[in-house]
Amino acid sequence: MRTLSETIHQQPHERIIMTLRRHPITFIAKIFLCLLLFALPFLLMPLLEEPLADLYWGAALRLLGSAYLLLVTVFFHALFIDYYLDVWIVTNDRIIDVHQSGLFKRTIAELDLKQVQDVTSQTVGFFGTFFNYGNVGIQTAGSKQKFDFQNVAKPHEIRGELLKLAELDAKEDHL
Amino acid sequence: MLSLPLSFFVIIYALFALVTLSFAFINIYHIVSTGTLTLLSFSLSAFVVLLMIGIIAVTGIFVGALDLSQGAVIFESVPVLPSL
Repeated sequence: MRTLSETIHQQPHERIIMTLRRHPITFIAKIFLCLLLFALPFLLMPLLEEPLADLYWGAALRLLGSAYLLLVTVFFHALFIDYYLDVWIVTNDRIIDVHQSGLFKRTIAELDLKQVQDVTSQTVGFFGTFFNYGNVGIQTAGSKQKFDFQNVAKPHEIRGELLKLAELDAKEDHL
Repeated sequence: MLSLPLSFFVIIYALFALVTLSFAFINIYHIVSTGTLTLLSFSLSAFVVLLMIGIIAVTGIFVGALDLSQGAVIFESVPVLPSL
C-alpha cells in the first residue's frame, strides 16, 4: 500500500511539517445537500401514489428511484474524494499541492520554500471568522505562479509558520 | 405498436448499477494510490459501498417478485385512413 511520503517522493532529509486540507466545515454543507437529495424520492412518494400503484409503471418508477439513490451515493463519495484528496503538504524543504479534479484528473505541483517571497492570509465571512478558516496565498519569486491554500484552518498561524520555514530553509542554504 | 417488457428496464438498471459501483471502486483506488487511506477515508468508503450494495439488494428482492415479461404499450399507431 502506498503512503503519502511515497506520493510526494519524500527525500531522506525531508520532514513533513504540515498536512493541510480544507476545513471540515466546508464539507458539511455538501453532506446536507446529499442528505436532501437522498431524501427527495421518499418525500415525493406521497405525490406518486397513483403511478406507483400501477404494476408496470410502479415497478419502472421504483427502478428509477433506486438508480437515482445509487447516483446520489456515488456523487457523495466523489465529493468526499474531491475534499479529501485536495491536500497541501508542507515539508522543511518544499510545499506540495495535490489537487484532485473529478474522477480522472489529478495535479501535483510543488514549490521550493526558497522561492517563497510573500505569504498572505485572510479569513472571509461569518463562518470563516467564527470557525477560523480562510485562504493562504504564497507569492513566489521569479515566476507569476501563486500557491493558494483554500479554506484551511488557522490561516494566520499557517502564514507565520510558512514564513518561519522559508527563512530557515534560506539559512540552511547559506551554510 | 411498440411495447417494452419490464426486463428492459431491469437490464438498463443493472448496467447503471454496475457503472456506479465501478465509480465507487475508482474512488477507492484514488484513496489507496495517493496514500490517503486513513480510518476516516476507509470508513466512509466502506459505508458508501455497503449502502450501494444495500440499495441494489433491496431492488433485487423487489425485482425478484416481479413478472418481467409484462409489457406496456409505449407507442400505438393510429389508422389515418377512414375505414371503408
